[in-house]
Amino acid sequence: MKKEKEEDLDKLFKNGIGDPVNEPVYREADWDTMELILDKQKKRTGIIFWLPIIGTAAALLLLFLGLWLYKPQVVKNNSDQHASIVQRPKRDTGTSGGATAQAADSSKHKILNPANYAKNAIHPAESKKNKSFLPLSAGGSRRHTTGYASTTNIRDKKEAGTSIAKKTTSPGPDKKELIAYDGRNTTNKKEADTADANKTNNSAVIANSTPTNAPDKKEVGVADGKKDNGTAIANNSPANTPDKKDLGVADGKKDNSAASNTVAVNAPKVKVKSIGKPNPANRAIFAISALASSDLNGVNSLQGSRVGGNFGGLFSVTVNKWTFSTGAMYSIKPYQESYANYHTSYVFQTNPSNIGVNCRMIDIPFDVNYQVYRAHGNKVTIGSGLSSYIILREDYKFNYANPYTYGPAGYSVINQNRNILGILNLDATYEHQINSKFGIAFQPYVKLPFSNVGASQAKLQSAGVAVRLNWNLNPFRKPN
Amino acid sequence: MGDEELHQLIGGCLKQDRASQKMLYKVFYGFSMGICLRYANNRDEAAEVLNQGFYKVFTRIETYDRTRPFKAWLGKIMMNVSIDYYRANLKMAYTDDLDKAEHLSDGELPDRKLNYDDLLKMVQRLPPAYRTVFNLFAIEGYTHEEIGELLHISPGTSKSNLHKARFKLKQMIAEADSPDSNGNYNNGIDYSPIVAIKKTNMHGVYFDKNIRK
Repeated sequence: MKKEKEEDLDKLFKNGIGDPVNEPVYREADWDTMELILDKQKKRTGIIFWLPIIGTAAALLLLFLGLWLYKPQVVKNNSDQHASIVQRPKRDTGTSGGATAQAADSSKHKILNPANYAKNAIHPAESKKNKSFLPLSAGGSRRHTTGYASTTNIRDKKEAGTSIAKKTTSPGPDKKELIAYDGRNTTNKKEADTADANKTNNSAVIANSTPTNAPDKKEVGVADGKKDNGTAIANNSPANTPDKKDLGVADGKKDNSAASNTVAVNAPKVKVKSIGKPNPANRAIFAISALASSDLNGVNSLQGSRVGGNFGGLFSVTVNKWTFSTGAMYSIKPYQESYANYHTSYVFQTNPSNIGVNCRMIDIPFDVNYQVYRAHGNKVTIGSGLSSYIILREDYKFNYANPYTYGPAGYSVINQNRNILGILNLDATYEHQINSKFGIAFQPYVKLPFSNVGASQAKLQSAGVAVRLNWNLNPFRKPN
Repeated sequence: MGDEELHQLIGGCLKQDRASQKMLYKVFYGFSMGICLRYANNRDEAAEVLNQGFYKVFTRIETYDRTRPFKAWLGKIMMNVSIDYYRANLKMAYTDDLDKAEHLSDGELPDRKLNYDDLLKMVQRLPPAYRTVFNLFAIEGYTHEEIGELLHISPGTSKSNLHKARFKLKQMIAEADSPDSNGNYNNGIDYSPIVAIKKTNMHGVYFDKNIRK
């Protein structure tokens, strides 16, 4: 009996409202609202479509920036050569000629006589193709030296002769070769001796050389009247300026004339570059970080704030004192707002006293930090940046002053609201480097909205502390 | 509207053609609003839910299987959107007036016929948790197990909510039946702000009378 009556009740409602005979009338205003939703979503879809592209471009830009700054500003081959040359004269300064003797030895194997020279694979004519400049310079240096010795700086002859007399390695065979080969330019043995002295130094200079520079070659060739000499001089690297000094030291008291002339000829072309190790301070450090944080979320200076959480990953590039970082975080942001801060077109019969909100979102930050302190593996930075909120879900719960008030209890909005670069991030970070690869950081932060957040258009603020575990992808290693 | 016209409209919606979207919206507005009104508190909320439902229709129309009735697909979307809209309220417990349930449960149904507006207003006055279960059970024909799955509640809660919904409805019917009642349930002749009843056919608007169910 009771069941039948219940079924009758159900039937009454099913027949009455289940299939209404007179359907509700169409309202144009409802379609206008629908159209607004569709238009809004169209724009939003556009932004969402571009978001991965913008993100990729930003990441590539960061990478490019990092790589560009990371790239050492030196010519690698030259720096290696430079190191060897600089070291030798200094080491052999006391013997005054050890280095030069070595250079002379290296050259004597290459040039035995004028006939061989013609067949020599390191003929200057082939120097354009053959970038192995060390043999070339050895050959070139000998003749260049001789040429210079015969035409300039006669005052050095004596000194050079003295220098040779002190050498531990006898330049005897070279002398003969020089006399035989450079007979055109050297009129006597003294000159040859001088040439030998100069030769050794110049060999060292030229051993420092970079590949042949065609314009230089022409100019010097004209100046010297000899193509080969020109080539030898042209092979001098602008970076040899310091070498001149080194060699001067190696020779003890004398200033090598040919070497100084060489530099003088090339002087207008000289570009002094800093050679050697890249400055570690300019080095870019790439790092990825795992981040977790707890924060207070609220509106109007964190009124009615509640504790939320974030976790995610970041990628950062540190150059000098600057750190650029981006990434993504999943954020849970609960907060409570008064009805005055709640914006809606819906008209409540009885206004709620407050609204409890729970937002879940993806936070994509773009931050820049500046290092203000660094010592003993500890670092303090301050930073700022912009965040984008992609709100995945918003749950609103209406709380009424009277619990028996008739009205909606709440509603949910899913995947509808975005704040693209609408949040200002301010933070200070203390980082402790555990070892060369890993570091831990504590980061108090504040997030302030430029634009209103979510369906209720609240000025949602957050303040909290994040803990980051950093992994340096290219940790600093001491050079060998 | 015949099947061919409907498929043309759906084809237009697939291309995001606004005119086709508007036509589809107009044609199925009454049908969809009828569903949303049953689950909503009032007409404005129903319109909001309806638009959310149509938004899903327009953005996911490619998932519609053309071999199946469109109305059934649309109705299901409207029902699901309505449930989602009030989902936060569906697990709320109401304990008021339950002690009065017993003596009213065997009450007689009114002799006179309550019209659509009267019945709809009664259903809309139910708390969302009761209303949703009542709609799903009494009107849509779902079982308590199915309702439990849909609403993420236990079948027992569903039964309980149905029982309470029936009790409240009987209470409302009794109030409406009483001679001194000054409520809206007066043979449906009072003004109702909830829905407007269509009196004439709208020019240029298709009606879905020919659409298969």
